[in-house]
Amino acid sequence: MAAPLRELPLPGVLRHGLATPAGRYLPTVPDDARVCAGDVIAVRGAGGAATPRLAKECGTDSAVPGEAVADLLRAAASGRVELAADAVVLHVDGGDEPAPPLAPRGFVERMREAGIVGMGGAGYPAHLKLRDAMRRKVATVIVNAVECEPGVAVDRALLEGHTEDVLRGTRALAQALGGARAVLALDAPLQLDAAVEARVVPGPYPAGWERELVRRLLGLEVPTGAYPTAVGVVVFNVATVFAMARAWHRREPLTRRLVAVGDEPCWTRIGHPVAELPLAPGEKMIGGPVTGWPAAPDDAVARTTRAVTVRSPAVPTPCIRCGWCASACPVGLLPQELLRAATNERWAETGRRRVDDCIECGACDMACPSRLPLLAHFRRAKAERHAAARREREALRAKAHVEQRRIRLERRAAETAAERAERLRNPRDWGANPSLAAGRRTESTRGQSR
Amino acid sequence: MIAALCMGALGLILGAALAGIRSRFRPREATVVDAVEALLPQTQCAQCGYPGCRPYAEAIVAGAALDACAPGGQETATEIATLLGREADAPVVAQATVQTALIDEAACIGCALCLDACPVDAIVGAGKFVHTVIQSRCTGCELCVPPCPVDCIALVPRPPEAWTWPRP
Repeated sequence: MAAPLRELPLPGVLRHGLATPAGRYLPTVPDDARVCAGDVIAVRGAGGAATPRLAKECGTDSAVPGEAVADLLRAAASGRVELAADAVVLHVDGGDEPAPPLAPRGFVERMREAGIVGMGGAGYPAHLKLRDAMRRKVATVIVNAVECEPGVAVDRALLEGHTEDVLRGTRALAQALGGARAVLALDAPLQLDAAVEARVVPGPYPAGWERELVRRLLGLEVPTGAYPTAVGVVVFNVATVFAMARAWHRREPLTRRLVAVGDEPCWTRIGHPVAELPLAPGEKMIGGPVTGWPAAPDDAVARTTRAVTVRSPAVPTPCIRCGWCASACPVGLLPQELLRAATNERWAETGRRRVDDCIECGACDMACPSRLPLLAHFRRAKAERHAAARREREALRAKAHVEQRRIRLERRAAETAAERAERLRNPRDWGANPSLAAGRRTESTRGQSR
Repeated sequence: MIAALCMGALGLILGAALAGIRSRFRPREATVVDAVEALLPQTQCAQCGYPGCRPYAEAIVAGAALDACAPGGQETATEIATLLGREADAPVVAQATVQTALIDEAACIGCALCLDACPVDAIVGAGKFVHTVIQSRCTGCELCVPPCPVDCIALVPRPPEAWTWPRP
């Protein structure tokens, strides 16, 4: 057993970012309010036509349909709330008391209430993934403990330090998915005393990539543009499974995670400002040396932050068109061509060259002798394409609304005209009512009767 | 001689066939309008002087200037010019920021005047009931602002994209 993992002390300020790769959260607490550890401070989602149907599907007992599908963000400590533009800032004033236990609910609903998202980095809400897996009746669940990038040893540390929790979480997860086969994917052998199918996936980075993992472990090919649930497999990161185990067996919401701070894995409160992490001086990176990106001055540890590291800045030189990046790309893209399109902001061309299939592994960055920031460009291109697609969807919707309005206005005009014509053809018989019959022929009375 | 006759006859037959096909499957004017409309931002703001994006697209195909679409900006003007093979006109005056309307519900008197002004039916309300704007539907066209008798409609900037990456 390895030495116990260090827990970083609670900082004075926690910062819960509202903009996440999975979408934007909206704060649910007013400015200057006081919240306790585990309180819901922001939600995301809950909207659109599919909401009530989804709520029914997952069998939640929430009174508000939208509540049932929204992802929650929970405070990691007690304190006073300050609403910033892009974050809920928590001025910690309480002690380090634990969050109150979660309400007893079903597995999927408990994961939602615990605020669990994919902790491997994607941040996709666990309850949505679970629901998708249940609907498709997946046969296999893979717990991914293959280290996601070279130079970060956080999955291994979690597995060695909390083997029992991870295994219990794996079993609970498999059970929740209707007795699915559970496979623990490792990058190096580990002595396990429990009956869990552990498979070692040695191999070059990025062996921990979801698709690659499914291909190697099960021999199944995930279609492009689809998730592994399409072939009856669901993959969870080991940190997510650990959080699930805590939420299921101990009813703990997600308030801390294991983060590789420099070289050392530490238990860190979610919201811990990056500036206050014990790191060597230098340019701080969110993520490891390969797939990390430079941290903004006010960045904080998010639920998806696996590592915070320091790097020495690289000075890029022009592309010499050596093509090493193309050999390195595990997806088979042409990074040199993509880079040219992305630096010139030709987003449509990056789409034709399939930038959306980029898994952001950073293999091209590692291969590049000119030390060009290829991955940073591709991330930007992907985000730009997402934004463009969203704008286009909105434009189409607005167009449909205009068309519907036009049809409605025309129909209403036609109905009014028809009614008017009908009235002129068959004037109402006022004779039945003697009091009205007297004034029938005067124009003013007729006008009022309309 | 025979060869020339053959080729001439062939040319005549194929020419007649082509002419027939052209008159039968004439490229409809509407497809061009559709293509132009697809490039317009669908804000329906009528700032161009036409009562919506579709009418402006029709006007552009009929020869109107390309410089009137403020929400689309220069980019849209250039795209349409490229599509139609025309010279881009004078640059678009101002590109509007992305915004949505927001009703101050404390001040709203429930007059229902803004409901009819909205080109995308984004305002919910009825006479003597407080109105509100469905934010996801609102295109920020500002058409609801002038009819409001109590000036309770404000245009606020939209929240930024969920996640953006800086230019490396």
